[in-house]
Amino acid sequence: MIDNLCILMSTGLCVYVVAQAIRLDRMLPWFAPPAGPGADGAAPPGAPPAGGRDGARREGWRTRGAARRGAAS
Amino acid sequence: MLRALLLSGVFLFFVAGGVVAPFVLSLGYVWVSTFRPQSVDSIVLAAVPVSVIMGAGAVGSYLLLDRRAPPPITATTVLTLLLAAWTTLTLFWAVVPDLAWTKWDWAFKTLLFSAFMPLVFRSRVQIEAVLQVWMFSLAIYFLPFGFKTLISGGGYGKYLGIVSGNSGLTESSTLAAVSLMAVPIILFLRTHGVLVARSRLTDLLYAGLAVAALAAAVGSYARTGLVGMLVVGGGLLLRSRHKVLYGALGAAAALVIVLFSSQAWNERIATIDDYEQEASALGRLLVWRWTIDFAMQNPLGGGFSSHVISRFEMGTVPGTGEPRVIVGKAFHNVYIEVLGEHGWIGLALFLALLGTALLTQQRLIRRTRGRPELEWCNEMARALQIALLTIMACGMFIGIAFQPMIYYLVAATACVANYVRRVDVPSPVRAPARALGAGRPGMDRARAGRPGPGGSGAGGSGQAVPAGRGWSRS
Repeated sequence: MIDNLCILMSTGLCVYVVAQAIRLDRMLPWFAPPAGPGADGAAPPGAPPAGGRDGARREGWRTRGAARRGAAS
Repeated sequence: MLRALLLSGVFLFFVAGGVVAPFVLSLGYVWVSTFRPQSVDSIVLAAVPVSVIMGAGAVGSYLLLDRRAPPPITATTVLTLLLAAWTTLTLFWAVVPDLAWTKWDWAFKTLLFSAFMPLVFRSRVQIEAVLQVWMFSLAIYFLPFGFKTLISGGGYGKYLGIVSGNSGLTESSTLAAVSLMAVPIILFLRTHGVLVARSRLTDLLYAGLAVAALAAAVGSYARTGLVGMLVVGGGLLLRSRHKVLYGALGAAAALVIVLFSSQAWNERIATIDDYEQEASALGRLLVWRWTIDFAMQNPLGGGFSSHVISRFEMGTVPGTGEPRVIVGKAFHNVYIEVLGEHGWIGLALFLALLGTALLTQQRLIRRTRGRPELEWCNEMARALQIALLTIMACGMFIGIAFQPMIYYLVAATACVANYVRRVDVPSPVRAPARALGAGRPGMDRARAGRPGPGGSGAGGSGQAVPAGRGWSRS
């Protein structure tokens, strides 16, 4: 019982993080530019300031949306 | 049968994911090499060369579809490749050629794959994904063991994991070392992961994994575990920004272990003091002495598995009074293992690799300090450093020199160092896209907002990457 639960948990989590990785790796920029006053792109995409996740996703969606709008025009 | 279906499904998921995003096949290789599904499922995957399929797929898909934004060659990569070359060379004078080839077969793959990892895992998401998959795959060993220890109390030599046996991660000392190595990485992923949305449930999940890892280390009754606990505890205390919190947690954990561990555990751990009387510990000291003598006579080493020719006297046979001869005792120490198998040159390369990884981690911590956008790199370097120090300390008592743990830690360090280097190199990163890879098909497609051949990563999406950033070569 415990063994089967652990197998389910381990494999389920692996599948989940891989699916998330495929999705987010397409969405977020690969390399965040350096931040700093006056730096180009001071708010680094994909790098939340204090380890939070929401910032990263927002930035990803924002850039993706901007790119879509650009492509449409 | 259900187990076989589930694991076959996961295997196929990795393969299918690799079609969409080539780096997933490399994640699949990490899963296969750590989880070892062919050992858990004896019906379907045991008959399939899962490792070969995933490894060939990972390298092939990278070469054909994903050679974008390649990182610079680092010292760790060079040292890993040199170690791989040198260990191959020692096959020519191996004292036990058949066994040497057998061990070389998997050790060489481990070294090559760890040198390959920094090429594949480049973005933050990819670097985190490899750590997440690695930890969740390791969980298959320490999670059931930890749970059963919490229920039954564990015991020396008891097989509480899913896979029984006394080799690899099922060996009690190795399990203890690897479980403790995982703790700082799990704690890092809890606070800085972007792949698993943070909530109370996920906090509980990661905390549960860390507790299970600690319980598995205690439940294995391995003395190596005590050494590992001291290093992890000390490392978390020194390296953490929350010293008071970790200090209190460490003290509480120590108190719980002392109060609730059985008499048998205390007796087992107390044998550390009696190393001259305790047969297992004394045998290790004697095989270390034999190996140093062997390396003095054979400075180039004896090739893989040369321990099988070890021979020394230990005590006397009860009743007869004749000396008891021990033959073929394992090295039980990573440094002695490398020395005995690959001589002084092999040991120098191995130590240089570990030293370079530690220095790289230290440099990363310094370089990213006080930079909010790179805080995750700082915390990851700290976690990797504690994990590497733990496995190095535990490695004093177990022969795991060529198992993937050490090399995956080194490779993850190289990945994050490459990431920080790219962020910090302003000119190529900010250079106009035209100057970067002009004429390269993948890059042109990305700039045009169309998916690259692999369809993954920044190249796959193209749209999310500001021109000249995501594709930079540093």
